[in-house]
Amino acid sequence: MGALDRLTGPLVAAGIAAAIALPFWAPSPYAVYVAINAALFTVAAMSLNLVYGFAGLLSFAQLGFWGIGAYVAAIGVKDLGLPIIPAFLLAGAVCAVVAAGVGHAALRLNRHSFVVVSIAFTLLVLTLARDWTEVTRGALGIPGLGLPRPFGLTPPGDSYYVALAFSLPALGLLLVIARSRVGRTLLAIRQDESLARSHGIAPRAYRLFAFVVAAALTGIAGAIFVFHLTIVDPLILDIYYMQTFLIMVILGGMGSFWGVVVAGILMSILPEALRFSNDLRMILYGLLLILAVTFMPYGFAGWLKARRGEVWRRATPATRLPAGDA
Amino acid sequence: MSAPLLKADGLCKSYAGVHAVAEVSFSLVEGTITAMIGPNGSGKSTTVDLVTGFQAADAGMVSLDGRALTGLAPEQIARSGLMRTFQQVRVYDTLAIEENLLTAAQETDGTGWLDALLRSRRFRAADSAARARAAELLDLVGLARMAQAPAGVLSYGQKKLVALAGALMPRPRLVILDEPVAGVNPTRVLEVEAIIRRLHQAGQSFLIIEHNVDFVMRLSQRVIVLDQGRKIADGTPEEVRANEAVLEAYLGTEAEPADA
Repeated sequence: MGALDRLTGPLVAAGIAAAIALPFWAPSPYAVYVAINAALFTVAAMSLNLVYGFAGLLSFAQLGFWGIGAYVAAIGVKDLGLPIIPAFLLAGAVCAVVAAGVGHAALRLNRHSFVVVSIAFTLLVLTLARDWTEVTRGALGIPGLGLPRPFGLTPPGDSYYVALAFSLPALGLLLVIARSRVGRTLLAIRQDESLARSHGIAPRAYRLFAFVVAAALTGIAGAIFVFHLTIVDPLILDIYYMQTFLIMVILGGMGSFWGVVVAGILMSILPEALRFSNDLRMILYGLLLILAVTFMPYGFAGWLKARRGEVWRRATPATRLPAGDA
Repeated sequence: MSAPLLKADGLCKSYAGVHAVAEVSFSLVEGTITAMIGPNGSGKSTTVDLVTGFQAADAGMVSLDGRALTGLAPEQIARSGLMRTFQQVRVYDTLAIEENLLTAAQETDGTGWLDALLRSRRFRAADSAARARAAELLDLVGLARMAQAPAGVLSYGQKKLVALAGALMPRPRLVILDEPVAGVNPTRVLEVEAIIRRLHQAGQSFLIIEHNVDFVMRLSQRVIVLDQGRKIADGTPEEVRANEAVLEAYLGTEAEPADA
């Protein structure tokens, strides 16, 4: 065990405590606002990680589920008169059912075709958001949304706790999956599908599971996000969100849990921190990305893991012999 | 004589009119090591793929313990007790060596997804049994010390041993080894031979596809020879060595093991 492994428990406990106390130590309401983004984006990024980093499927459909969840919850509250929590649960359930249907068909394809289908799916959702005006109200969107304020804190303190009350259990669930045999099996399938099949593993069932869980959690995260924004319109399906989730997964390290959680938090803060110079912001952002991908192509977690592999390599005389095997 | 362990009957496969495998039939007896040899392109690897479901046969039947495997997916065939390794060594590079082995046996250990997610009592029992089995096999192949290292750090020959140990994890009825010593240095070839011998003495049945003729002649009780997709000989190593068709088609033109 490395030092980092031993520190994980205390670090996580400290992190959760800091997160729960955040509204009381945050320098400004604006910081709490950024923390809400961080909580929800991290869940969406970790869901994408389950599908992409673990199951090996680059899925742009996550953006579609983010949008479907947002619209279902908004329509549930505004048009169906649902209380807010059942509306969020409905958002997750609809996303799960849609993912099961889409996944059942799309997971028969190879990985490359799957990417294309996932993009087409999200474009279809975008078209519905824009053009199915009787239901979605088109470009005008559905305004007047809001999160409950159980504690009466300085805004957006209450919204932050709503986001956290979802994000922490959601991340907990994703951690259980990632650390379980199911998570290991997904990694095995991503690395070598033929080998996995020769070991009796049916890749499609595992991938469908990952796809459905990720869709449900992403949908609820999207729903909470638009209630925090107070409006849902087709901009919720902007590629910006997908790009953000993807960057978090790539920088954190595909298939790593803590890497992506840390990247999710940092990459929610970084764009805000770079606001000191609006002109240079995108350039700095791009530069950081290029540097990270150049020097840590498997993300931060991948970089750590490679260091560990190095230790094993040095400890193994057999692999040091130059002509050990042909 | 008892019913054959594996029976392949009239297997055919062609690509764009070229017969890769034509009317290949054979059966294996439980508890034996059978070798399948033949020059490059003779259809050995295709035959393995047809038997294990990785490619669909154009015609022919395969059965294990009298149960038909024809038309089943590779994962279903693996679960029914027929495990295989690959010619191009395959391991899960980022998973620990122990995890590589556990993954190979998990689908037949009697636990489901919920057991695995909730770590039920049944799961924990199956998991510790699997870890004990993995430790035993890693000991056998000499990698016990490396159990927690990622498989990616291993040498080519060591990866072949992990793949072999993985195939043995679920205590399969039959293991098909596709070129277990191709590209492996001579010292390690002897190691692999000793490992297979020990497993055979413990009752494990093998079908070994190889280029290294000396290796299989020493190990197996029976040799099947393919040439240009057809079976040209089937008998004891001595019979096959003396077979004229074999000498002409294979040993005659390729006295030296071809690639490796």
